[in-house]
Amino acid sequence: MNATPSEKQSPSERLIGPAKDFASYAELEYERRRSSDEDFDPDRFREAVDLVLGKLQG
Amino acid sequence: MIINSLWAENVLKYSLLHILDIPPRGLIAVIGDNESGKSSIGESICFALFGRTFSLAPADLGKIIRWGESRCSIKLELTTPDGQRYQIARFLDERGNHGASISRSSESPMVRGVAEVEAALKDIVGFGYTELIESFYLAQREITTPHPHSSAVKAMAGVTSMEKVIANCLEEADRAGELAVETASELAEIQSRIEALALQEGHLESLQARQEERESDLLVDRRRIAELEDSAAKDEGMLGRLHEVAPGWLAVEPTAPFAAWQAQQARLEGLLADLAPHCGERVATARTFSALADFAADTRERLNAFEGLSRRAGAYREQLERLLGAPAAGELKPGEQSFAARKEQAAQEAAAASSSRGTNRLLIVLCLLLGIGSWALVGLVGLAPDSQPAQKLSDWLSGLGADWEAQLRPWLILAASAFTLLFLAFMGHGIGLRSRLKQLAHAREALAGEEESAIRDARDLAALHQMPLSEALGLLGLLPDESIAAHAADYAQGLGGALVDVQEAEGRRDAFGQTVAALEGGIAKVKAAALSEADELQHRIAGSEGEIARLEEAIREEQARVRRHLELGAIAGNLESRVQDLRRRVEVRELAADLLKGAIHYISQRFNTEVRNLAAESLPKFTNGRYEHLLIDENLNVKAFSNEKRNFMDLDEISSGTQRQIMLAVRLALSQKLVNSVIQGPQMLYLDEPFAFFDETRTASALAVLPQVSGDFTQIWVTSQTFPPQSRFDLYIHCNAVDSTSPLVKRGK
Repeated sequence: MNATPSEKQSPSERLIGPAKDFASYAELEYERRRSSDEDFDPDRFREAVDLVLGKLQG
Repeated sequence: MIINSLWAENVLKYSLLHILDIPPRGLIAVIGDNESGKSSIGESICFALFGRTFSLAPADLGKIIRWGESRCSIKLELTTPDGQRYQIARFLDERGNHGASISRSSESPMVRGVAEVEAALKDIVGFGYTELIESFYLAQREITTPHPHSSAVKAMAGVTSMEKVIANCLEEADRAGELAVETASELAEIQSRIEALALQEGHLESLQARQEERESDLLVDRRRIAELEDSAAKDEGMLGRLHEVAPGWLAVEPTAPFAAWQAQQARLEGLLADLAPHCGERVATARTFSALADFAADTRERLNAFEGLSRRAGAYREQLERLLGAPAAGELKPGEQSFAARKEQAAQEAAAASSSRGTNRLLIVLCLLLGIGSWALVGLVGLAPDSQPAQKLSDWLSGLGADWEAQLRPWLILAASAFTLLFLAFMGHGIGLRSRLKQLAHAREALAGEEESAIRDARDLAALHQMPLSEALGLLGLLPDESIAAHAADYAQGLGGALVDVQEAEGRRDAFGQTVAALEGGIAKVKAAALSEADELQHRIAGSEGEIARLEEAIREEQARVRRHLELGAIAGNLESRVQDLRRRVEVRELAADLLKGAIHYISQRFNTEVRNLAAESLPKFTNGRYEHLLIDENLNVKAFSNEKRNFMDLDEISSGTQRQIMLAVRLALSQKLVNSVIQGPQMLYLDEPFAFFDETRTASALAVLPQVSGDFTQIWVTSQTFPPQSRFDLYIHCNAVDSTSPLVKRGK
């Protein structure tokens, strides 16, 4: 069974407009902070990202 | 979005404005002197689309109605990138009544209302009024660098919503922070109340343990009191039993029958059975109880010995009763013969002997007579043969044919002798029979005596247990059964002596009385000790109950304090959790705002780069290759790279004409960016006096370049007082300063 285009897309690819731009930036920022910030809290980061995406799409 | 037609009545300068069949592709020239109505066409388009214009503030919108008129209306037909055609109709009167609608061509309106049309139009064309003003609509006075923080640029860059979210996040963070502070204050209050309780860990458990210990002690004491009272009651009962049994025993005399001994012994043994569990193991009563038990055992042995003797006597009595033929005595055993049978036999024997004696007497008489007769005949015949009787007899005998002398006389003598002998024999036999009869009479008398004795013995033995023990022993000693008599004698001299001997019995009674008295004293002492201990325990219980009551009160108070502590602890836990949650909310929202700011910076940089790249495509065309590159910072400050000076230059270092060329390029780049990001299809541009500071050469060059800037800008409106003579347009709209009617519209060749 072939996957539908939406299934092939990553979560950020399924987003549109500012949410998509923010998700792209957040992915880069996540990697940057994870590799450079000793106190980096991935859960808090994800929570913040989800919060922003929810508001941007709401 | 491409404009297909424009129809307006009483809008700005025009009492009537008709521009129909506007070409979707190409340059549209709006030409006219000052005040000829060029800008009015652009502002009419703005008004038709969004109900406002660049030059009129919203509060002055009424000024869009042509001077002297009370109402204006306008219709604009457009085509969206997906090929759909829409017509926007709008009216405004001097009282501020404003109406708008959107409909597809030749259809009834699909949207009505100013606000509804504004919202629907953004969905249809992909942009709003501010985006239009900052991009596709270049107003006459607006040929400056776009404001970096204008909502349109932010919208184009896609950061408007992010900034709203930042504000929203910070607002939420502020609220959460304030709530966190308030909640922390509440938490501190609760914690101070918890501390004020000064609850000691384990205090409640300690109180409960003490209470349980006291209750356990109380239970033990109560059980002990019950035991003691039970013991005292039993002691009382034992004393009563002793008082009941002992006098009876002491009253038993040596003359008392065995049954009385047995009865008292049974009562004594019953008493001992009752006393045994209570007195047998107590120090105070064990010794005297043991002495009493020994006394009872000794008596029992003595009574048992008599009872064994009594059983033998009983068996003997049963034998007598069988011999006497008592109905309940049962069958005779082999070898036994009843008195009745023996009497019958004796009677029979006596009768037989008597009968024999009678017969014998008859035979004696007969033999006597016959002997006498025989001897008389012999004498008569022998001694007086000549006598007449002798002759007659001789004759008679001769008449019989017998030879008397020869044949009968010996026989007669023999017979006489025989009769004589028989007589003597029978006489002897008679004497024997008489002796026999006497013997039988004696035997019968003896049998009667024996029977009489048996009857008496049986009767006496039946009452053996009811007769005085000494008499009983005497009776047994006189029985014909030698074995019983011998045992009775042995018993009287041995075990039975203590019972029937007056002195021995007295000594035993004294010993019994002393033992009982000692036992009573022991029991009374134990009872008094038990009651005394019970009293002490009652006092102790009263003390324990008081302490338990105090402990219960203390426990209730401590439990209330513990419950309060738990409640406050739960509240504190909730508040602490709430504070942590609020702080987390603050952290998350601050992080979200921080991320959004970073994203805005990132997106702005990307936007600027894209705008710069887009502008770089058209800039050399507008500047004849003198400027090719731009630098656009976050604030949209623009620097242009001069090929001549080989360096980036600020705008104020560049001539005003070149500045406007550069800014036109930037504006077109912004428009291109908006098309790329939102519209993605053919789009009109309205450039009002873009070449105001251009010389004719630059204007011609710019006009030549405009259609080449982007394939997306298919319909470009350009207004100017004049255009270079060689300029070519697809539509000419000639405006006339003195005519308020629709301008002259001509199509290009």
